[in-house]
Amino acid sequence: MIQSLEIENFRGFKSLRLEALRPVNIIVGPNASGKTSLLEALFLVAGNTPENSLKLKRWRGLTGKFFAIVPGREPWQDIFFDLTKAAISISIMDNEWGKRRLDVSLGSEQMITLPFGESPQQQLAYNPISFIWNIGEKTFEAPLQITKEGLRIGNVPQFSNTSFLTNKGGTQTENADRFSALSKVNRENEIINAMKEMYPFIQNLTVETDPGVGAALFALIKGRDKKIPVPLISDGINKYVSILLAIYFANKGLLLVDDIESGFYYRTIKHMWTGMLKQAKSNETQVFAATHSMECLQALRSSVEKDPDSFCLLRMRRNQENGACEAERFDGKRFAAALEEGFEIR
Amino acid sequence: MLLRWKKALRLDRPRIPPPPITFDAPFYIVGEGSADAAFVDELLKSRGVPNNNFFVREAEGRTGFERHLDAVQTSSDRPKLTRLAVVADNDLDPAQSFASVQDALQRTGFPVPASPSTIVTGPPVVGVFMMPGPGVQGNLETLLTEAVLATNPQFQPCLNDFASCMVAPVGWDINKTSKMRIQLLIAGCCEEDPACSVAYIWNKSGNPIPLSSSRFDPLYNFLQQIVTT
Repeated sequence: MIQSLEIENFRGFKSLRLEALRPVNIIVGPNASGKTSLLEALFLVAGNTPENSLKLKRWRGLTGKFFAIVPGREPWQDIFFDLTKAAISISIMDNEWGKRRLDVSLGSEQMITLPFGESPQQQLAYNPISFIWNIGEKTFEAPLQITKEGLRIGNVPQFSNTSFLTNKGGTQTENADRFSALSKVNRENEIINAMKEMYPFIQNLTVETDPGVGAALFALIKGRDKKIPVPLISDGINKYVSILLAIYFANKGLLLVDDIESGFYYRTIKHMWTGMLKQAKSNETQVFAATHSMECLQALRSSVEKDPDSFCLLRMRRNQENGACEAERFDGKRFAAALEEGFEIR
Repeated sequence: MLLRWKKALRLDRPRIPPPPITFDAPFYIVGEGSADAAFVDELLKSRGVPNNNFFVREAEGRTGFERHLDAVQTSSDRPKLTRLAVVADNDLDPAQSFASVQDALQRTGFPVPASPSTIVTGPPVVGVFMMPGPGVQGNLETLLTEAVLATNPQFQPCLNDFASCMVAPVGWDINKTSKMRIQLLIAGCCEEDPACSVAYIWNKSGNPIPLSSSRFDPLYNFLQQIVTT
C-alpha cells in the first residue's frame, strides 16, 4: 500500500506532499483543483512506460495522432507545471515495495523529419524527454526510439498492477481482456456473482466477438434470449463491471477512479461502494477515487464509520496566488464526523 | 403485510437528504444542545447582531462536541472560520464539564482556552462560555429561570410553593430543578403553547424569557469580545 506521495512540477502541482495515505482515499475539490492530476501522477509513477503520459492525454479527450510527424518536446510538455524548471519528480513510499521515484526531464528540442511516406532505415534515437524510474537502489530508463514500425517506447519493471478508470469506466477491450483473463483461471463467477448481487436481472457475462463491435463483454439479461454488449445496457452497469474487473487486475496494486459516481443511479451508489470495497479489501487493492457528488460521499458514510482507519479524505484546491494545486488530508475519523453531521466537504 | 403498511405510510420512499451544511459567517458558535443553540441565536439577533455575521449549530450533547468540531475542521467552509465560541452547561461539576470541552477542542486541533470566558487568539480565536456562569453549578435553564425571576420577582414564591408541594422535586439536583422551574414558568405564561420546550419558545407569544435581561449580558459581552479580538 502506498503510504506517502510527493510530487514536484507535475501538471498543476508545484510541490505536494501527502502522508498517511490509507487503503481507500477519497479525493474531492472543485474543477481544476488537481483531482485528476493526482490520479495521473500515481498512474505515471506506478506505471512502467512513458506511453502512460500519452494515454492520459487521450483519457482527457485529446485524441490527436501524436506521432504522425515526429515532433520534439511538444507532446510531452503539458505534464509540466513549470517548463523552466528542470524536472518532474513523483515519488511514492510503499510498505511492501519501498520507495519508487519517477524523474521526467525534457531533452532535445530537435524535431526529427522523415522523408514523406518513408520509414527510417535504422533506429533513430529520439530524446525529447527522459523518464527515469528509481526503484530501491536501481535506476531504469525507458528509452524512446523511432523505428521502422513507428515510435518504440521502452518499459521498466512494473511497480504493481495499476488500473485507471475514467468517468466512463474501462474501455471495451480492457474489460474484455480482463474478463477473459479471469475466465481462463476459472474465476469469472466472482465477477458474475458480484454483478448479480447489484443487478439481479443480469444472468450471465461472457466475452463475445461481434463483427461490428469486436471482442467485448456481453451480458445475458432476464427475459431476453440474446446477449447484449454491456455498455449498451447502461453506463452504470458498464462502470461497475469495469471497477470490479479493474480491482481483480490490480490485485495488491492500485485502483485509480475518476468521477466514481458517474453513471450510477443514486439508489445504487451505496451498493456500488459496498461491493467495490469488499472486492478491494479481499484483493488488497488500494483505492484512490475522485468524486464531485455529495450523494456519493453520503453513501460511503456507514463504511467510513465502521472502519475509519481504512479511509482518508483528500481535498484539492488551487492556490489563488501562485495557481498551484494543493491538497489537504483529513483522517477517517474526521471524514466520518463530517458525513454524520452533514457538512459540505467537497 | 409490513411492506403494505410501509407503502401506505409512504415509508418505502427514500428519505430525501437535507442539503449539506455550509456557512459563510466568520464566527461559528456551537451550543451543547438544541436549546443552547437556539437561545444564543435568538440572543444575538435580539441585540441587533446581523445574522450573516455568525452561524450557530448544536453539538447534540456534551459528548457530541468532539464529533461536531471534527466535522467543522473537515468542512470545505473551514477556511472562512476565524472565530469559534463553544457554549456549554456546567451541570453539577463545572470544572469537569469545562475540562471535557477543553478535551474536545484539543483533540480536534483547535486552540484551547485555559479557563471559561477567556479567549485564545488562535487562529482561530476561540472562547468557551459555561452556563449559567463560570464555576457555577447549573445549566441553560438555570440562567433562563434567573432572568425570568429577575424581571418578574413575584413568580418566585409561587415557584417555591409549587416545588414544596411536589414530592418528586425534593432532593432533585439543580439541573433538574432548573428544568422544572423554567417549564413551569413557560406553562404558566405561554398560552399559545404551554408545553413548549425552551428550544422553540422564542417566537411564541407569551414567552416569559426576556432576552434583554442583564443576566444575559455576560454571555453577550463575551461573544462580542470574541468578535472584537
